Amino acid sequence: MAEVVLTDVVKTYGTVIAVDNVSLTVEDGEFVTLVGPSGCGKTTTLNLIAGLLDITSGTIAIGGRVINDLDPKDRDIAMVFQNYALYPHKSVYENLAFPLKMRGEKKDEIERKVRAAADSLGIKELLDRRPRELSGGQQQRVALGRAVVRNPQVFLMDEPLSNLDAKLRVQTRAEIKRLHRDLNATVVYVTHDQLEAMTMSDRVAVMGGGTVHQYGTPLEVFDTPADLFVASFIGSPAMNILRGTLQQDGAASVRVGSSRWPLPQRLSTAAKAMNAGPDVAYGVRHRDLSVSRTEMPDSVHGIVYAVEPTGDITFVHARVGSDAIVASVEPDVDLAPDEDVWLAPNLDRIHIFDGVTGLAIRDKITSPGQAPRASFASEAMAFEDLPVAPEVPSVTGRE
Amino acid sequence: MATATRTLRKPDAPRAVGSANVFKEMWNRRGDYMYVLPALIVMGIVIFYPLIQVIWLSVHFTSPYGGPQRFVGLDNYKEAVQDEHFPIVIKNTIIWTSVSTVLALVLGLAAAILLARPIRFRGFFRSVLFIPYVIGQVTAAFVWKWIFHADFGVISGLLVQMGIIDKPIKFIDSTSLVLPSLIVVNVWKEFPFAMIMLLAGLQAIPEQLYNAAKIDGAGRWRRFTDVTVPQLMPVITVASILLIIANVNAFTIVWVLTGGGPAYRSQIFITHVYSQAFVGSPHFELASALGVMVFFALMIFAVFYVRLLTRQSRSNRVIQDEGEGGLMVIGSEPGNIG
Repeated sequence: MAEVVLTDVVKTYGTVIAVDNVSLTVEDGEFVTLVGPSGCGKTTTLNLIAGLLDITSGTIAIGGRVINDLDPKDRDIAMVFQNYALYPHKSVYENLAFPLKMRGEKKDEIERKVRAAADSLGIKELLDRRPRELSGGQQQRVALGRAVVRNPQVFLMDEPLSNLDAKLRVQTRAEIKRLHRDLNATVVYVTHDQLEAMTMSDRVAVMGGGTVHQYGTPLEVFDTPADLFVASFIGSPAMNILRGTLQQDGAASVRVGSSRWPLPQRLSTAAKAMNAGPDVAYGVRHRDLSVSRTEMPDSVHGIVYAVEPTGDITFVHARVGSDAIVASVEPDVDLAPDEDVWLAPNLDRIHIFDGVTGLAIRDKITSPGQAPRASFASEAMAFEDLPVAPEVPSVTGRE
Repeated sequence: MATATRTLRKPDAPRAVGSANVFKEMWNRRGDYMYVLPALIVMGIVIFYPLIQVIWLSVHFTSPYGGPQRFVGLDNYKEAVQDEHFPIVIKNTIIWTSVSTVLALVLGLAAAILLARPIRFRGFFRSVLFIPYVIGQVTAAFVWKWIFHADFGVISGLLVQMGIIDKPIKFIDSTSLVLPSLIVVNVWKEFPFAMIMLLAGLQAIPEQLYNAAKIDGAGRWRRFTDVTVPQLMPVITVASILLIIANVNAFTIVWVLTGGGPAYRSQIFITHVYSQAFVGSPHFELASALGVMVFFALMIFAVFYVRLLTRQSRSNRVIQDEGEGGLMVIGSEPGNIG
């Protein structure tokens, strides 16, 4: 196993820059996910590591050895592809044996390794079958087996779950995570599915437009997004983003249309210190908005547009002026469309971003990650009664 | 009243059709059959009538000058097979068909592989290489007749001028060179067909298979033998069958260039059938017997072809994931973070 270090990696196609100065260190044994929308350069980056594409400039090193000019087979990597890429005319056994055969290993050695890998992945009854006689989930395991059998320094996985149905995806996700642990492998994983990225990774690199916008643990990118792109990409439903102007007169707030969204003084000060504004984007996640039928301090009036119960949480879509806001409430809260509601953001969990650069405006002292989330303020419970002290450890169970 | 009942009739409920019910069902749906009737009539006139006529002729003695016709059983077949030229015709046909087919496939595959790469002017090269296929058979044959000409032919002329040979080569007038020369023309004419089919096949091979093979350590040659060839095999099989059928039936090139000569050295089955019927004293009954033989021989390939196509469409079935047990599944997929 080894660490993977990308330094100022650039890949261009003519005038199109697919990967733009990406620098990234994947520690030995770490599970790192490159996540981003289509066309963000994540798969290109993975193919550069694999050696399937030639690097335009920069260096890639695996285990301290620069591998820019090495053939894929000499990089000591294994790759799992989105469509599995199993050899259709070869049996499962031959598929697993192929990389070992190419390495010139002895027949009985190959047999031993293939059987061991098949055993660990639960596919040993399938060894005589052809890939087309397997289900999608079984093909996926064979593809994993073909990677495992080589015992590579680094596993590269290109959206390996996207062809599976929802149920199987959840199951395989856990299995890959377990496999990573058991093999103590270094894994670079590519996905467009932020849920996969969040659930599986030690660290996540959020990519967009060929660059890495933020590289950190799943909770870091979730709780302290570095910029607007990360904020709007990570989280489902997406963070509510409101474009407005910073108001410094009196109590700090962000004016969006005719409503004033409350802002903690620390962020207002930070904005001033950073010379940001007055155009800003105000970000708040659905969980961090308290919903009430009565007006609360520092709340904004809205009208319920639609209510979506999911079972364990109910999403409330509301219109505030011309903006659409998503908040969430407990499933037992009964709200109806066209009802008047007041939305109060948890002041400790608000994000603001510079309206021009999109970069997060942040004070260094408080990280929103440590703050608890707000919950529904029912009519019976006044907003003031809610525990909002930043020091109180979270009880929502998500962290 | 009758019309009223008809228009008010309920749509037919789906029902099982037993063999006894087939004709009733056909009668019930007689309107539908009217739509395909014109096509059936045309096919009957141009395909089935001549076919039946040839089979009938092959078992009768007839004279082209009229006179009585009588049933002779398989006598015509016996006579056709016992013809002194029959062995060389069979030999020529086998050589012609097998060598042409193999060379057209090899050349077509080579051209397809070159053209599948992202090279400059690819579209131009594709068009140029496709030209032989679209030139008329007779035109092509006449062009090659001049190219091969013993006195004015361009190949011999160039070779003599360059001093490589001192007298012109008699390509199609030589008993030993005539069949290979004709095969060259035939391959030139039909390799673009193989090329286009194989090119389409090559482009359908998923790039990820090559990527997987590269990572698994397969070099150029192993990627060709372990990915390209097996992936192309269905296309190669279909192309071979179609080429074999076309080559057995290839008449024009041989007929225009040599007429089967010299001394039967380029006579293949189809030209032989034609010669029997229309050259010298006409023997329609022998030609018919030979025609029926080649018809059934080609039917075998046609059956293979059809079976192959149906097998391929059947193997595209989907295999469902049986819930593989194990872990419990928690939550729905587009799950919510935060």
